[in-house]
Amino acid sequence: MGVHLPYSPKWYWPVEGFSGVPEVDRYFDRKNIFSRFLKTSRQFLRLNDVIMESVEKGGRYSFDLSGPLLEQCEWDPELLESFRELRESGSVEFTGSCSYHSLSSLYPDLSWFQEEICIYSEMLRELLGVTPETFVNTELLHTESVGSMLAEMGFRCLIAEGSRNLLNGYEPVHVFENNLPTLLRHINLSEDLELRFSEKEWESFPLISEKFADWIASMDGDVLTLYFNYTNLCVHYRNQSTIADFIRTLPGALKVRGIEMLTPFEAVKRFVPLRLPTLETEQTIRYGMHNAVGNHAQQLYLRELVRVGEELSRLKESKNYWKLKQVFGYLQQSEILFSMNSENIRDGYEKAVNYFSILSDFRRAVLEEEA
Amino acid sequence: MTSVCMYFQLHQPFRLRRFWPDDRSGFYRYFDERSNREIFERVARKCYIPTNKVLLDSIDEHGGKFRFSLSVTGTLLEQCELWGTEVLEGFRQMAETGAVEFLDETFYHSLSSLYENKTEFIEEIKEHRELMFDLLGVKPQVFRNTKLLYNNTIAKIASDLGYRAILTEGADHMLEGRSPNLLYRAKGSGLPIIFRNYKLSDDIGYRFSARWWEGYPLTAEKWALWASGVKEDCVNIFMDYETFGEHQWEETGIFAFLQKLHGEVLKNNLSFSTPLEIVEKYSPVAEIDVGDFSTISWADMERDTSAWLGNDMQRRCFEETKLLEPFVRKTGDPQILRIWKHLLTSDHYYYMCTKWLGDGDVHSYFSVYSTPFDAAVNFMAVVMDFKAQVFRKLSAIA
Repeated sequence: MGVHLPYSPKWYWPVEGFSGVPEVDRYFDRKNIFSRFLKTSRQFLRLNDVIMESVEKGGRYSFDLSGPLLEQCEWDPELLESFRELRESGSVEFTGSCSYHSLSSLYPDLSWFQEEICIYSEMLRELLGVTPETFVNTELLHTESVGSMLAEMGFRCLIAEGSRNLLNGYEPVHVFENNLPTLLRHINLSEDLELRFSEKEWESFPLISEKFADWIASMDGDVLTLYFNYTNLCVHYRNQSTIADFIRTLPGALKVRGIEMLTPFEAVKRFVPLRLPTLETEQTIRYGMHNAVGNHAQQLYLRELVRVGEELSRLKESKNYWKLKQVFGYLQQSEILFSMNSENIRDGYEKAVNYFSILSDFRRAVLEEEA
Repeated sequence: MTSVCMYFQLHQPFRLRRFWPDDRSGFYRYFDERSNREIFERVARKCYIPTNKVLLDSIDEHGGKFRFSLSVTGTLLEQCELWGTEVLEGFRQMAETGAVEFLDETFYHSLSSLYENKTEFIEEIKEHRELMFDLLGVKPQVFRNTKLLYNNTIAKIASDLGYRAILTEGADHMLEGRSPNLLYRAKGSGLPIIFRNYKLSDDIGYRFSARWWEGYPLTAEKWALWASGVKEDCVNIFMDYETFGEHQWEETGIFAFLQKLHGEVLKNNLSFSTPLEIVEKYSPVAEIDVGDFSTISWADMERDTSAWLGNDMQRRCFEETKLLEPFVRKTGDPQILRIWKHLLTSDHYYYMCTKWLGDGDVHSYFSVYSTPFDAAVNFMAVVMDFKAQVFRKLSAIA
């Protein structure tokens, strides 16, 4: 389950920039982020309690907590404590990820990506006392070029999106062979929980755990990977749907059908990986990323991130390097790219103009630091 | 005798290319050489060259009686030098007739008059003045600002620079019932103001070929008769030169109309005067007060600055380029300065306008972008890259 709350950029005016080393607050509205966090963190807490009940009934889960979320947890230590309790249950795995929820795995130079992973693993060790063994890239992106790097960094399992072009007709019901043993998300079943659960018009509404377990029982294969956004579960929960009952009763419903719940790392240890030829092609990106980098604005922003990243990495000895690096981290959040999506061009491009203005002030600060 | 004062505006911007940060350098890293050239050549063929010819013939036909004025932006004159010497030759011939008065404006057809700091505005007027002398050998005495943008401060600057009159839009909300057919003076500077008669101007410029219009089809006889209905000092007809052959295609009969116009005007006991002659002939009748925050222009229904600064994308882009000024100057790099000045051209901001109702079709007609949002993103992408160039340069010389 992915748990993430991004830092959203504010509506910035150039007059706020053009001088000095920027603080995070110059580009991000922390007051707004704080109040949103307070609202959401209470919901996360209640849902964590439900997960705990499910764990006590035999459930096993893994969490992909984003870097920005972990940072925000300092505003609500109780939430962090609740994740610690889940860890102590022994039935919950915590995965590694990019600390700024960025798309840095797409940059030509992977050093930012590598650094983000290290920062994140360090954060996880410090806050929860765990060392991640499974890696989940931002947006479940799969990039062939990073596989061997992740293996060298000590990861032993990868979870990626089970997109059709990757699966090429296979069902995502095995561990697949790659630089890292790979689990591919089952999109339909994941989205049943993530998106359709509260939809009264949906033919399978209301979804109860027995029905869901029946579907899984009818499938062949070794292991099925479900991944969904925790925030969406909160939405179902808020709508007073039956999601809490579903989660509580799922372990029992699976068990009577002879299905075991596993964490990702347990799955790759148990099953023999199956060869999936499409994973081995030379293409860099296999997951349809047009929502993130499909239009002119998004490509320009990504390209500018790469350029400013190169400039910033030459300033490691500089006085303000760490301060700049932190802001750069937030500017790389994938949400910024996604929100420029032009399916609603007005909304997306008005934001893009704002983001370009922000990024150009940041780059100004980096170039001035070079002097 | 009532005077008809005609003034035609000529301008082409340097449009941006669809930006991508590749290896190109210099001016054409940002500006699109090919599409600007193609557009220039098309407009030259359809409008500038034939219209120059019709007007020169008309001057010949009537000796000194047919008189008018032109305002040609610096950016268009640069393009003429690059791609259209024939067009430039036409302007030179007009200057030699003595029947054509050339006006001054901002070199880059820019929005610099809206900056709090007027350094750039004044510099652009001086650049334009120099260019007019260098290319056409004329010294303009009358000023018109980009898109007729006007307020007391703009008039004051024009007055301080020695101009003897200023042209602007006869906006209803400012005239408040007073006639645009008289001369006024600006509050503060006392500079004479000549107001555009938008009704009689738009009858030609905007409605000429409109079948929905009760005046259709417009003939020179009919128009001259309407103009002769004005019994005050002057009928000030300001419009785009592109009215002839570009906004109104040749097939609409616009050139035939233009050929006949001067004869019909003279027949109706009206005379032609250029703006300078207007201020020599008539006296201002009242003072006009337009504060800096009520700036008027000839654009759209609102006749204010909203065509360029009406939405947040436009305001962000405008603020970026405005705030860049001291840094651009500090580089001391003539190429960087030239690029920056071309980014101030009002057209870039006009393409980002989102006032779709009513005026949207006019905006989209003039734009090379499919939406104002594309225009804004592309402009800001250029700014983002250009700004980095400026600050890289400053770091290097620090």
